[in-house]
Amino acid sequence: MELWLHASARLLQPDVLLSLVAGVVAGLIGGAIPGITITMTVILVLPFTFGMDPLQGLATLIGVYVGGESGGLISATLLGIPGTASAVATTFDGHAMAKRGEPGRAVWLGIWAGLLGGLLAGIPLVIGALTLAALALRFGPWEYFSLFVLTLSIVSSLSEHSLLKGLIAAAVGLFLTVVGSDPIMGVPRFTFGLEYLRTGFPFLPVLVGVYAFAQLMRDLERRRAGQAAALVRGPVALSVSHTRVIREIFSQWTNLLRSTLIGLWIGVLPAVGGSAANILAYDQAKKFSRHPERFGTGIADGIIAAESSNNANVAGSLITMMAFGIPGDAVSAVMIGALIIHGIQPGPLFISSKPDLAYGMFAAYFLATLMTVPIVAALLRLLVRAVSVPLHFLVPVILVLGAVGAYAVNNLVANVWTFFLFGVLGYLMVKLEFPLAPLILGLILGDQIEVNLIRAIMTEPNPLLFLTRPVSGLFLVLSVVSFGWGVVQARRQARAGRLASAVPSGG
Amino acid sequence: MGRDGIVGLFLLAITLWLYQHTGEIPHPPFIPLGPEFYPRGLLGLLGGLSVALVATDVLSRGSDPTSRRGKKEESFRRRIEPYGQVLLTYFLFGGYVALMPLVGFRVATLLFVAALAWMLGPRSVRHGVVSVSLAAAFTAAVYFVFEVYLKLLLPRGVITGV
Repeated sequence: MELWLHASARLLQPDVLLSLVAGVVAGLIGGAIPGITITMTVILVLPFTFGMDPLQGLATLIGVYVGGESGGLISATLLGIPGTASAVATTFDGHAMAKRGEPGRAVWLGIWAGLLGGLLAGIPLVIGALTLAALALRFGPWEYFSLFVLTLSIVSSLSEHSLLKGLIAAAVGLFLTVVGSDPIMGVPRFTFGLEYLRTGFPFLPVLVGVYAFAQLMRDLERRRAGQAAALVRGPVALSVSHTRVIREIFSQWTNLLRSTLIGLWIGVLPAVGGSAANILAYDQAKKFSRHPERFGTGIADGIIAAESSNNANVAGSLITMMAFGIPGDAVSAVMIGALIIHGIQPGPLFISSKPDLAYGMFAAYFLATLMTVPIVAALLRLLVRAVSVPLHFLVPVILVLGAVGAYAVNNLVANVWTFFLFGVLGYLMVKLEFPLAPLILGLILGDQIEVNLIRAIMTEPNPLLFLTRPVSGLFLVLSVVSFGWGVVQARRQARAGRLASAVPSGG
Repeated sequence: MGRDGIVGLFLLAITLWLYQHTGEIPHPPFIPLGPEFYPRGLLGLLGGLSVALVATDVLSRGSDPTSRRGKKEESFRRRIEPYGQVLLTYFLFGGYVALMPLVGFRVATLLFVAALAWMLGPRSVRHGVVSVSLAAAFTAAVYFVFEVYLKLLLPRGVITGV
């Protein structure tokens, strides 16, 4: 309780509170602009947090994360274009409702459902993170190694295009952490005489380069001249009876609860992300509904499911990040980078070694979730305007802020080159259909995997211990199951693809 | 052989080259597992996966001879059309980073933002004016936020001194 009070008091100090509000506003704006993902917004805000103390910086990023989930629904409902990937399913009913003449109801159903889903998921966030972190403290190097292997196998097997490419991306990510001094003896490896590489590739320029360039270049490819300018339509009626909206959400409490749990669970799974939560919750709401045929015509059920799940996803993602140092999605991967910048080692020791910071993050999550409603109420008109910012202005601005963020890590222009080179690699990987998530996860976990593997073998040279120690063995069995599942899924997809190409197109 | 096969071969070549370099990593005495142990394992895994990628590509092409026909029929010009602005952005960004130590962050940023915003948007005088104005305002904002407020010293230029 003392930790809660201390964290809340720090959070309510004007500088931290202002940063949190600024983070939520930035998240809402970034989330609302189609083409700017939440990850991108976090990347853009990150350099601003370098001069802050760790809690202030992390509170800002949590504000962006929470605000971004709600921002995505604004363009999803008003324009029919999801502002973020985690608002895809929101467009199905949100936009239909807005087109029917109820844009205010559509937006506010999403905002309130997001608030309730976020708050409900906050409780498991606190309990889950504390319990899992306490459990992880009992792990030895065998268990940590196997847990990280499990994480990588889950992410690789969930890869969109190919299990094999997911594994290759993970292996490349792991290899990138080998460059530089080895973590046990400090012997330089693969530096090729470059002093810059002695400390290895700096994590943030690599991460930001891979994500920012891949996203922006795909947007440039897809864009059509004048598309952004045509997005905003005439004046929209956004006023609504909030009591009625809240009553409507509570009348569907099973939908709200189920979608929140789905979002939370998907968030806990490493590197899966809010888009899967959003679509799965929508799909389940439709399956459990007494009127599934009305989904997609602009009913409240779809909006409630989609928005409560993606906000709950944030909490789930923070659980794995805080308990194990494993990112739940790309946003929490950047937040792990922010922790490292502030000299904090993410991982199972994080909560026990920095309890004030951990509780501060919990409190920031709750406060950011609560703040979303008044901030949206105050800025909704501005947010509607924000979605019309054209891509040709966004691209240079984002790249410069990415360059500043890369440079600011340790004031080296070489970091900006790293940002650029990994920007090329990220885009090439996307074009060659290699998933980025396993690469990033490999990059985050690489050092830890090596340290724990070597530590385990040096403690006891019997490699069978990885299998015979119950928890470690369980993790490895689950890794094999996950891998097997990936193989089955890949075969199913290949068969479906062959069948589809065998059936002649009807025009 | 298809694109995946070529990528697999390329990865395999890099992996073998890096594996050969593991022999140059010094092995401290009295240490059973040296610093080369983990990278060798990892490169072995990457090599195996690269071979698997090549094999998968070759096998899948053997069973589906129609897979590339559609792509070949598409004209080369049409295929590269969407990448013009992508290449331009990479080119200008590379120039921006190269220019940064010479003319300084502020001048390089002003030039880069104005040039890229103008070249990606409609080619009109009005858009040119808006692009330059945006670049000036943005550069000033970045300077005040990062240098003045956050005390981050951005790169100075050896030529301009700013």
